[in-house]
Amino acid sequence: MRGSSASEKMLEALMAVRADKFPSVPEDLLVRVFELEQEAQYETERGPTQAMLRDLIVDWGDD
Amino acid sequence: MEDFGIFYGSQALDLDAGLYVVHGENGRGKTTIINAIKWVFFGRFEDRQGRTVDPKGILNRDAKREGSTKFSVGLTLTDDDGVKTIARRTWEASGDGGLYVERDGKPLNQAEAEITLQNYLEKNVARFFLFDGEQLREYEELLFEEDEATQSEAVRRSIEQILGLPVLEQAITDFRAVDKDFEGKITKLARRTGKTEKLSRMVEQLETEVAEARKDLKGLEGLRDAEQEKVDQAATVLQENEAAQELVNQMEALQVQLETLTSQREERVADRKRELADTWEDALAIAVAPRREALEAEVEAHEVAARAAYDAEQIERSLAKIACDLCGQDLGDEVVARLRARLDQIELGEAEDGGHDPRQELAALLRITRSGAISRAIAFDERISEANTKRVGLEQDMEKIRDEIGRAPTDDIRVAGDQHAKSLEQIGAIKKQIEDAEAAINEKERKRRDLVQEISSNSDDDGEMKALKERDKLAADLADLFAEARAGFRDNLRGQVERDASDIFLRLTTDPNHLGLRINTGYGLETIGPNDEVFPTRSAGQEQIVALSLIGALNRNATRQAPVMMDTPFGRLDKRHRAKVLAFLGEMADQVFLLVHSAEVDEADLKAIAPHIKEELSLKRIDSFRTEIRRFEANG
Repeated sequence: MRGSSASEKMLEALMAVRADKFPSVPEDLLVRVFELEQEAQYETERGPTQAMLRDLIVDWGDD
Repeated sequence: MEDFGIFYGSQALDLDAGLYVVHGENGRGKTTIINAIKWVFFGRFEDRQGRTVDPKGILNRDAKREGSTKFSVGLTLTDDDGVKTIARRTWEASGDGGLYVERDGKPLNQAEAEITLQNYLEKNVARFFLFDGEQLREYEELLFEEDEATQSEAVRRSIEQILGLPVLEQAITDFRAVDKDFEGKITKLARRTGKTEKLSRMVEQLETEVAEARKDLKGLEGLRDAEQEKVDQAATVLQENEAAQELVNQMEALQVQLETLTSQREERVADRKRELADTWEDALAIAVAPRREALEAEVEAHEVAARAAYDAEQIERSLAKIACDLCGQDLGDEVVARLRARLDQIELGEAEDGGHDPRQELAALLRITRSGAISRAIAFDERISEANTKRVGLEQDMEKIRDEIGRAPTDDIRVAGDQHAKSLEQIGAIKKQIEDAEAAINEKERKRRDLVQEISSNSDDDGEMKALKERDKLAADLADLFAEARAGFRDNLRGQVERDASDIFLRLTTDPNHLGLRINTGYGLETIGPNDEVFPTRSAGQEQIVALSLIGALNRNATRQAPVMMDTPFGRLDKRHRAKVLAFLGEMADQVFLLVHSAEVDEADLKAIAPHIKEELSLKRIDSFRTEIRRFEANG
């Protein structure tokens, strides 16, 4: 398991849990927030990432 | 590298994917190359004793003599997406040195530069990619600790960082924060209506309490980390002075023996003193023994004389009657003659006897008996003498050990041992407090969420409130979703690391009874044999094999590719293990950099893996203070 395939496995695990227990969570939202979290994984200051996630949820709701 | 350590001037290594072998004898700069990389990433590195090396001592001696006052090391890193990061760290005697980093052609400011490098290789993680075969102590805490409770948090976190788990953990933290933010908005909105004002105030109160509790929790975590650092420092001292520690333990055991022996000796001395008080009886008994024996003989003779006197009386009566006094028969002349002779004999004996009765004197002497005190005193004396001999022997052994310990810092070792134990105990206590604090916070959070739920239920569901509730639910669901995925993912990943480590281990070990490795929740590794039996101990060479297996498994499962650099990895390995490790190296990572000296690997070893070797280089001695990196030539 390497680099991107490690991420794929992580996303697969998330999708499986979503399908099983959280079907109301939009699939494409889950993919997008996961990408955001991966990009921000080395940020020590979480404020900006949390603001982006909040905006994403708000925008999704508006859609 | 520019004027770094033994590398005079500017010298570079141009590396691609593949297996590189760098040959260098002792002191030619193998470890310096590893240290150069550490210098770029961390701005420091340690010597073999764990002490930070003073940069003044790193500047190449010849360069310094020529007037140079700085050295630097640069790295070009290419990540999975082909993005190049160039980093150069300079030390300048004047203090003007620093770190320069550009990523994808764009220079970064100082803070961004440090974070970027940290993201590439965090200090705790470095040990898995920059492997020093002579510093196995760095891995021993991984390989020895069976109990997750005593496993270093930093080690566990660093392994999970390699495996990518922080992504999921941070997502949970982020979504909880976002969820809380939406709940805050719901509470504020509900307050405007006045219906749920009291509930809103309770929510705010709980939020204040949680914030305070989190501050206290942070304090506890800081204490725990501080104690852990003490444990790590003490462990370093103990491990570096393992041999001396063993001697100290022996010394302490001998000291205990000596104290016990001294105590026993003192008891025997007291016993002897007590017995000596009664020895006069024995002495007297011994003194009178000859007289007693003589009296016993006299008593016997006296009794014989008494019997003889009785006989004489009988004989006289018989002679007077010229007839037997018992049966009345007449005595013949012959009998009379015999009786007269017997009578003469008896009368002679009476004269010799003198009529003295020794029985009274004997009775008096028989009252003087031997108590055995002298024998016992002698026995105690012998035991005291034995104890003295043993004591001399123990003191001689202790003296030898003192000489062997020599200048080893025995006081430091003792202090480190005490500190290690004390800090571990503290960590245990603090962890319990942390658990309690987290439980209390969770309880308050639960109450807060219940109140928010109540506020939400009691609020009018107008457009704004409805939207907020949906967003809040979505954020909460995402937090729970990531939490659920993390637990399963972590277990799967640990299982995968175990399988990979086991697989690699079986390829490297030569013992047919080794059937695999088992990993615990703290990523400690046990060697498993037949019937699931755990091998309780491992030799230094076996530890190295296990460490390499874990490193290989972590590299296989890491979210980011990274090169592996190994400095003198074969020192503890025999030829068979060495051959197996060499054969495996090409698979360890996409880029493997092997630094070896001639006693570790020979031509035959490398010939076996020649097809996998990208390039061989050598660290060529120019003089005692200069090395040049050159293409390797056999017999060169």
